Amino acid sequence: MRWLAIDTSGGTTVGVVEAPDGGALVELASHVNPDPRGHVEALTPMIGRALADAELTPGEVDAVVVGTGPAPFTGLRVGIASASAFARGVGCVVRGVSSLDAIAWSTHGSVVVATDARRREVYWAAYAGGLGPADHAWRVQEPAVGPPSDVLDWVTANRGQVIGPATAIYPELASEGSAEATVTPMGLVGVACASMRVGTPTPLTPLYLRRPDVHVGAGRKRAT
Amino acid sequence: MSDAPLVLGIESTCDETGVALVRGLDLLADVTASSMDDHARFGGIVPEVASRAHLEAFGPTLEAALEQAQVRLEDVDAVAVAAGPGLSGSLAVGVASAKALALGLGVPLHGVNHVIGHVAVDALVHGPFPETFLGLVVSGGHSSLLRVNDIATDVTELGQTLDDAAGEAFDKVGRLLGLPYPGGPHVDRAAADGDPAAFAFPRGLSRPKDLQRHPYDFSFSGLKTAVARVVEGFEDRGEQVPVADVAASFSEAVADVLVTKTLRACEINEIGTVVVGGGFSANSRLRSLAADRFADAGIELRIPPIRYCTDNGAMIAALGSAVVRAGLEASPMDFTIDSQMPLTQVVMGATESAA
Repeated sequence: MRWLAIDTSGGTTVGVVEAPDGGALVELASHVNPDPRGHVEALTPMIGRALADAELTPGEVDAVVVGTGPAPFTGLRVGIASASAFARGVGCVVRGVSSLDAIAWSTHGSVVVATDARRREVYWAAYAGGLGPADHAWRVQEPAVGPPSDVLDWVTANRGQVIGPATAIYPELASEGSAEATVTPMGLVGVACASMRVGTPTPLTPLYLRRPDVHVGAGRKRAT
Repeated sequence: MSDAPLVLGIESTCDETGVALVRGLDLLADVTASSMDDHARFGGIVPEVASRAHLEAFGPTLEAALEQAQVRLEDVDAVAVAAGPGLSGSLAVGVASAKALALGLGVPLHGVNHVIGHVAVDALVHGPFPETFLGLVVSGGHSSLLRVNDIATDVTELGQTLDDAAGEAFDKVGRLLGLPYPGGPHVDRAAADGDPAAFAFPRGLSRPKDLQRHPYDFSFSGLKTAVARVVEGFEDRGEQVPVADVAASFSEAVADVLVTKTLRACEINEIGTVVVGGGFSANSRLRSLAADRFADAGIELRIPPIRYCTDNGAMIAALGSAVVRAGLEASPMDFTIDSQMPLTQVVMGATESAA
């Protein structure tokens, strides 16, 4: 099965991954744009380049997987909308997986994955060591948004290494090599394949975790 | 027109998710999902709420349009999408969807101007446009006079509002009068029982000096303040506000100034046809006053039915179809959304093909 993998939870990540039946994943192409904005401009050309690198036409893609966050809203929607529309265009299936799960996929120990939520907060989730996305007990803390101190409190109580892009922003979370863990096409496809194997749902529902900012007017002001 | 290219149009500039299919000048399907009910309780559009609704609505709206048109997605020859002006978050959903869809289908993509779409849609209703005409686009976000020599390649902006848009003024006056949001339809309804001559509200930028400096521009901010003074006067005296009379007199002032200035622009530029579009062209007083006065002046007036005045996919598919007919190159896949897209720019980053 040839997968197109897309994630816009931080910068823009696009890749093509071959998932042979029962075999190990092979990355055929990968493009990363670290800019945390500008997804709507960057993404589709990156898909075109990744397919060209993998020497595939759009119609030769068998499945699409997209990271559903949690992430800042506008970029997140660009990824999900694009993945969904591309899959419609070529007539293939599309799966959604948590971007935090995709980062945790490549690790084996107990980890807390933390990404930048802006507004001095992080998105985070925690994972058990020795398990993987096909195991029920893998994710021990559901995705949440909060100050970095929430992550430290959790680690104090439960142990584990904090990894992910947020460790580059908040030194108190960082340890050696922790910032190198990012969303990869392999991670996205790995989580999607494991979820399908054990029948875990893969909805395209964006993980916003925050309500929209709404300001209800304070009543009208006088003109005179 | 049965062998003309099939163009899919996508609209997501504000709170309406629209998808339509057009072949030549034939509208095959037009489906709209609106999140207005989610905004009404806040008294205005909440951008993040609108953006979330677009993401949820796009797939089902597209499916419904294909079903209505009895075509398959792979039959589509080109995709057109509103690239601006509008709310950035809303635009991002429609533009991202359109780009990826066009890439998946292997068809050209055209990023087009939403406001010019409000004019273009009339060709689906009243047929091909004359060589040169004026477009009056009036909505919650725009009040603009356009000179159109070719809807796909040659549009110039003669003037626009210097402050509030006409529809925006209606929302604000609706609030003053204690009417629900959005103000446009509610003030219109209230005005039906009122006396349009009860209050002499000002006509913005209509004095001789203003006409010289701003022959094609509008201003509704002063009018809104004048209405506020009258309403507050009644309230301060402990009297009941005559809502119907205020609404009717206010509507009369807006319609009068729009029609008078547009007619004058026709005379100055020797133009014989006006196309009116945008959500505010649903206003009943604007429609009746324009019909009377344009007929008296011997100028052809084209206003599409109300369902094509509000935001919809048909307007984008119509403009996309015109752009395809004109042989313009596709927009590049990295084109940016432009929340302030100038009204003289019909398409994103395309140039006329040499052929």
